[in-house]
Amino acid sequence: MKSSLLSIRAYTLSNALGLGVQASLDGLRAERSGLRECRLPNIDLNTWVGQVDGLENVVLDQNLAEYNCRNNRLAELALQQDGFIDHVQQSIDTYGANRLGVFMGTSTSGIEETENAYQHMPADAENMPDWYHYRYTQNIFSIADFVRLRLGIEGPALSISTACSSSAKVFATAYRYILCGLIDVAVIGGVDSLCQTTLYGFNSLELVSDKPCSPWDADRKGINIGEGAGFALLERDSNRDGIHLLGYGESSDAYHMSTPHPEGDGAMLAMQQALSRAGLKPEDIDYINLHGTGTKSNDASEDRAVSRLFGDTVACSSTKAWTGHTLGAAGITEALFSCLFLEHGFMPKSLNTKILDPECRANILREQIVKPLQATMTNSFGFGGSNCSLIFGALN
Amino acid sequence: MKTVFIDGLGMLGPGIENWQQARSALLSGALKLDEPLTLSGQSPLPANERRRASRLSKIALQVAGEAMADAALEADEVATVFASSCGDLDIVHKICTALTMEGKPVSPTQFHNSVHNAQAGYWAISQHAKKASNSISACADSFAMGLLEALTLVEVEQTPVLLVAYDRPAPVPLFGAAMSQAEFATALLISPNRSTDSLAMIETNMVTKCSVVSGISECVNKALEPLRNSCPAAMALPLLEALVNPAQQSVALDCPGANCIEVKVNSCA
Repeated sequence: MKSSLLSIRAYTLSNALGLGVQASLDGLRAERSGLRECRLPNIDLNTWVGQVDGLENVVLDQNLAEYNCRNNRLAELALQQDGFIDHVQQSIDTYGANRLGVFMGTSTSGIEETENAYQHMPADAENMPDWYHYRYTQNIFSIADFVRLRLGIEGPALSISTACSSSAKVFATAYRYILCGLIDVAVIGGVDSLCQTTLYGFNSLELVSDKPCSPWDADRKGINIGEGAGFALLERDSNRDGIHLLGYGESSDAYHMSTPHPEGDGAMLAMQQALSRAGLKPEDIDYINLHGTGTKSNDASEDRAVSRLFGDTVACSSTKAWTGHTLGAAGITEALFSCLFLEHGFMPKSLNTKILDPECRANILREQIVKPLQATMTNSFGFGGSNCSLIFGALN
Repeated sequence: MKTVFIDGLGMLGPGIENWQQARSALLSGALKLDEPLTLSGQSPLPANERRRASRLSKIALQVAGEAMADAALEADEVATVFASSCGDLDIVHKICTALTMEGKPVSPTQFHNSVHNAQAGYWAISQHAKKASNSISACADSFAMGLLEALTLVEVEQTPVLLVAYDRPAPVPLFGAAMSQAEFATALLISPNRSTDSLAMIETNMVTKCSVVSGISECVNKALEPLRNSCPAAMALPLLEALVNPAQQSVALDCPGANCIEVKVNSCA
């Protein structure tokens, strides 16, 4: 018997597949990748990216003008989709603005503003230019602050920044706040946007692929960086039909800053905890949305972890070849994908995976499978060895 | 929220090298604010990592190690919350400078150290600590939200949690724009159960800012106020004062939005 930790009342997501839930669903079903060759100004790298169109033209509310940066513009555009703002307003009307919390994941927040300022400043400048607002853009909290002000939420708010697990961990934090009675409803999400820091940073680590990424492929070359945003409205209501968070697990690799444990020890710990919290056995999981970045070391390590715990039967795929690796937004993007698969009864193949890595054992889907699902798991792993696994299920 | 227990404390700041000095500064208010923060104690980082770690990471790990030093708990039994308003702006400065140069030569080490959870990663690696770890920011309210994050972990997961809060000034040209003008770090080892290590017990409630009944939000010791006002992590000072001074009972810490948390402190002595 599955039991709910949190009910997902509403959600929305935007990424390289387009704006809103329907765009993601259509792209995933049609096996149409959102990746494109990188033509961004200031980026002279031979790679592919998952870009969201139209961000240059988004205008923030006048009273939030100081928050203007690519990351917050992406948040604004994403919040406008799927009637999400109205759903939040209904919760505010029911519970009161200070009974809602905001928990947002991001890895680089509005760092593009700092990059731009440095580009245009003399090298010996003593101060930042007048137009630059550190607190409202580059500061890690900027995204949570912007979202809470934009939605009129007066309860506790924070940003979680644990690299690529950031916006998976917001589910666990939201659950704990609600269980402790500090809030009734949580708005959670993740937003990360394309910037020079991550493109040139991952490039310096030789982890950026010059081709569309191909997770679990014998010839995989690394990641494509993407941008994306996702939001969900969570509350405790185990009687509600629909998609629920059933389990979560959080662990630390305690191994290396930028390389995962070769046997996937930390990843396995997170998945085990998620199963145990959900009261489920490995065979109860229908599908795993892998972290699956397409780097040699991530996929090998995650494959070890998954096959040690699940054997080689449970269906798995990575959706990074649709959206790129959206870093601090990857957790929420793939969590919401995992909810979409439950809701619409299908499992996507691992797009771009042509020749399976012969060293890998996990059951990587080579074709889309259409069938009703009961429980899905999604993995998110980040630099610093930060791991998070989530389990979602359909209750009715 | 449920009553929890403080089993260890650490604090580093201007002219404060260890918890003993911190304790007497908190009690007497004799602070040497114009002195630098000196890292003189034993670092929990192995020599290799110490060479690669930034000053912010060294400060965070030193104070974390201090809070664990006298506790019976081992680091691998303890979950962690790392709270910092700004993270490592030295590294942001270096990366953004590299991005203005020919070929944009970002250093791979700087890049992996640039993540907000770098300090958490170094702690986990040096202590073989595999439990849950969160790295958060709430800008000026990062200490209060870090405390709340730690308390929810203690209460729901029934695990001891090490809360580490730290910030330091940004280099020029970011200095004036960023949130911190002073170096400060503190660590609290928080346990769900009372033990012989327990120094104090705290009971925390979230209330609206206008309904604070008894909590004081400033330092009793006015000599500490300039430090509290010059670094987000130093917003911990009123609570640290109450933890060492049995006469002080309750503090209030601002959160983003309409609420604050009231923390009632009682000695375990």
